[in-house]
Amino acid sequence: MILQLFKLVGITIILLLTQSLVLNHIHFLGYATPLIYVYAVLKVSRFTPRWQQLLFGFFIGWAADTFTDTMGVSAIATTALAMFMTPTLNLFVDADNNDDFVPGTDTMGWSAYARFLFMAVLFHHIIYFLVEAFSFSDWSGMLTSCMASVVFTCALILAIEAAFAKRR
Amino acid sequence: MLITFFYDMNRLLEFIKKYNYWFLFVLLEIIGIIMLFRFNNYQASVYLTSANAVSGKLYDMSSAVTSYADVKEQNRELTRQNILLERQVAQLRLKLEKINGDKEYIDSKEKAMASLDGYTLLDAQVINATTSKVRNYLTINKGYKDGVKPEMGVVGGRGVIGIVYLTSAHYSLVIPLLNEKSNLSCRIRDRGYFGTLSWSGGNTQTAWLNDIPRHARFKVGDYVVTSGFSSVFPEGMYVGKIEKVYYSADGLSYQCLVRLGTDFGKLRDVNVLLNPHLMEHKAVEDSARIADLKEIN
Repeated sequence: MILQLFKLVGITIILLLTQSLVLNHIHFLGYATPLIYVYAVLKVSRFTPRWQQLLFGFFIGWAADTFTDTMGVSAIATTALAMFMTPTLNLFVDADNNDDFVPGTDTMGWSAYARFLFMAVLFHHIIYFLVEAFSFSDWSGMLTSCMASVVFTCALILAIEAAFAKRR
Repeated sequence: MLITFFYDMNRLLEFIKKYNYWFLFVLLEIIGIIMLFRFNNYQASVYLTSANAVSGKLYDMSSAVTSYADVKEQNRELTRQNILLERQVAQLRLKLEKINGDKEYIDSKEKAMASLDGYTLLDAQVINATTSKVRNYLTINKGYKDGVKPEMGVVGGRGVIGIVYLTSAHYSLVIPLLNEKSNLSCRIRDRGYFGTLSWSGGNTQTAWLNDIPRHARFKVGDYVVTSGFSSVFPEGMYVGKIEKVYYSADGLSYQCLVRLGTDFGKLRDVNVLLNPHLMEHKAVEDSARIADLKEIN
């Protein structure tokens, strides 16, 4: 359990550093910016108490905001993601499955995990870009940025999953 | 009762325990939103703009409700202001005419105007009025105890209304322009020609300006104002606008249809022109008239 906690903290730090030092400077075609730190929120085990998930999500978002100078934007989005992550996960898990596991390709399979990942990332990014834009005046641009970022983020996360799966 | 209280408290605590993560979620989102508006100028400005629009709209609605309570007082004030402004305009026109026009004529008019200065306005409300008869009357809620005397002028925000006929302690009867006994000395503004305004029934929005000489030059749309020759109204008070021009029955003068400025169908706030020299002025005029009659006889 302690090991798992350290593992999670380690992943979080690496992701936050990657996001702030590298990915925040990427704007693919002027639209897509991957928000890789959500991967840390998705690495919380299924039956972690909700209040812990919420606090964890909030602090990840707050930390990401500190590096991007957008105080409150990521905090709001990741807290919402943490809140609805478990119900979203349950959509892609068999109803009679009561095992506690950490969502991943090795525990859920590629298909289920990819769909869960897409739903969760889409949910997070919609809230993120909505709060960031705070207006519907350029809704098409916002939508384009959102979808492009979702695709980019999902691709990166699946690449990381593939890399870790290969190593096993 | 105590048992019921503890039971309810227990249920409340269980509810909070069961859904504690919802309360935490709301709390964390609120913290996030506070950080968002506190540290981000763009979102704060968008929020303030929208909030200002919403609160502005609310204040607007509230003001519309509360201002309705003040509308009576505002109406009275506006009526008074309008009359004062009309007087100012008349005086300014006179000054302008003095620069451009015939000096002798202007001097006599200026003296007449100066002699009629000193009017004060008394607010009053019309409490009864008729407009459907040939001899219509208005009743206002001011009488001799308020300083009103017969043959004082009554004006409104849109022009001349009539002349006080009878007074009691607190009420007065006014002969409006819509009365066949009314004969108001008027002139066509900026043209100088004089005539008598009268009404003989029919349309309550128009009256007749008679005895305009045939050589007079004026046009439809010209304004008709008081001439200042009576002691009742000062010179230049708005009466109406010329709408049509006809020849008189004998063909020796023009008869102009004047659209009256005042809507007698919805009179409420009026002003009585208190002229402290009215009696003296009337006495002098009456003396002259009596002397003329004696000479004739």
